[in-house]
Amino acid sequence: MKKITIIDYGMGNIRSLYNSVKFIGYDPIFYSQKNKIDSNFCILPGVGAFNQAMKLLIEKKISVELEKFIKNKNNMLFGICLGMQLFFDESSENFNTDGLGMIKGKVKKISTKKKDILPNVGWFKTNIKQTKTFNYLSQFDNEKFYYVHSLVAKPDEMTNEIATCEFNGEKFCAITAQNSNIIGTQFHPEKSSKIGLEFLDCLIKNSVN
Amino acid sequence: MRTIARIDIKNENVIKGINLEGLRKVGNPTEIAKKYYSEGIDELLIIDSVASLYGRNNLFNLIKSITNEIFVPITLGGGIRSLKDIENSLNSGVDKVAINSKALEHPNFLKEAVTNFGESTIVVNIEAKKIDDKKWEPYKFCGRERTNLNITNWIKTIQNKGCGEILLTSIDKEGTETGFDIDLINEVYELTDKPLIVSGGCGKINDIQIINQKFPNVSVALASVLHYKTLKISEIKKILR
Repeated sequence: MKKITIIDYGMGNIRSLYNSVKFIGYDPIFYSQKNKIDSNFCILPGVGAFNQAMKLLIEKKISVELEKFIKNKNNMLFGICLGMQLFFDESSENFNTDGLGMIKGKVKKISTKKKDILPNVGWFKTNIKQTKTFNYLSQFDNEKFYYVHSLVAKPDEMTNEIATCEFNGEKFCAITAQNSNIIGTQFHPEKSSKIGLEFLDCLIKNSVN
Repeated sequence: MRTIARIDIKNENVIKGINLEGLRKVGNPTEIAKKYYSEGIDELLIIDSVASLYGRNNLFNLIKSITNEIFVPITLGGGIRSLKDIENSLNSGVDKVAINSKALEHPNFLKEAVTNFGESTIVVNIEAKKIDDKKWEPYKFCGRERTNLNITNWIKTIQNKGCGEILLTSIDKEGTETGFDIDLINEVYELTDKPLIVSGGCGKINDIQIINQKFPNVSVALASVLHYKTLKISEIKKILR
C-alpha cells in the first residue's frame, strides 16, 4: 500500500484527512518533528491562523524538512487550504508574516467590503485551466468543491494559478502549482464528498510512481 | 445555500421532538448519517441533545463510526464545555463544534476557542424563543433554561468574541413543520456578517425556497422533513440549482 505522509504540526483537524486517505486505499502516516518524511507524497493540511502555523513549522523544523522534500523532483507536496497558503511569500492575516516562500505571491483577505459575509463557506464551482503538467485534473473542471476560508492566495505569476473560483463575482485562486511537484487547493477535497475523494485519488495516482 | 441534515441524538438513538421536547426515536445515527451522505447532503450537524444538561460527553465512539466513512463537513454540538472537549471532538473526526450553553455562561470561551482552533471550527448555536413581539431570548440546555438575555445583545457579543458560523434554531418552530420563523431570521440576518444556518420549522419545499429567495447566503438545517421522508435531498438540490 502506498504511503502518504500527513504533516501533523498542531493546526486543525487532521483526523478527517487521515480517514479520507485511508478510505481511498492508501496508508496515511502522520509526520511530526520526531520521525522523517519517508514517502513520495506529502500533505500539508491546516486550519487556523497563518502566523501561528508558520511559528509551529519553524519551531518543529518542519519547514526545513519540506524544503529538502521538494528538492527531489519525484516527490509531491500537496497543501490544503491554509497549507496551500503557506507555500507563498507572505500573508497579511493578523499581521504580516513570512511564509515558506516556495511560490511567489501573497496571501490576502478575500474581501474588505463590510457587507460581505466571511468566512466564505460552501460548495462552489471550480474552473480548472488546461495545463501540460496537470492535464489529468481537467476532468474536474466545473465540479463543486467545499471551501471555508477568509483569505486567498494571489500568485505573482499567472502560470502558478491552475484553477479559479468566484467570490461575489471576483475570481480567486482555487489551485496553485509550482513546477510539477508542488500543488495546493484552497478547497478541502477530503470534505468534498465523492468528487473530492476522486480528486485526491487522481492527484496521488498521477503524481507519484 | 447549503442543505444540512440535523441529527439530534439521545442515548445513541436519533430522536426528534417538537419545540425541543417530547422526543421520539427515529433510528440509528450511523445508518441515518450514511443514508443522507449517499443521497448528496452538503453537511451534517449532530447534536447530543442531553449532553449539556447532564455534563456528558460519551458520543465520541459513535461519532468515529460516522466520520470514518462520511466525507462532508460534520459539526458536533451538545455539551461542548472546554477546549479539551473541542480537541476530543476534532480527534473523533468532526470538523466543527457548535457551542451554546457554555458560551452563554462564559462568552470569553468563544474567544479562547477561536484563538486555539481557528474561527472556521467554531459555530455558535443559538436556541431562540419568542418572549414578546419581535423579541427573542436565547435559551440554554437545549431549550430548557432561560438566560434573560435578548437576541440583539447576544449577537453583538458573539460578533465581538468571534466565531465562524451561527446556527439559529427557533424553539417555537422546531419540529412543527409550519415554516421557518422569518421574523427571527430577519432580525439576526441584519445583525451579523457571519454565515448563518437556520433551523426549525421546515415542512415543505416552499419553506426552503422562501429562505433561498429572501436571504442569499443563508443555509438550512433540516430534520423532520428528512427523517419522515417528506422531502428528498435530490428534490431540494434541484430547486436550489
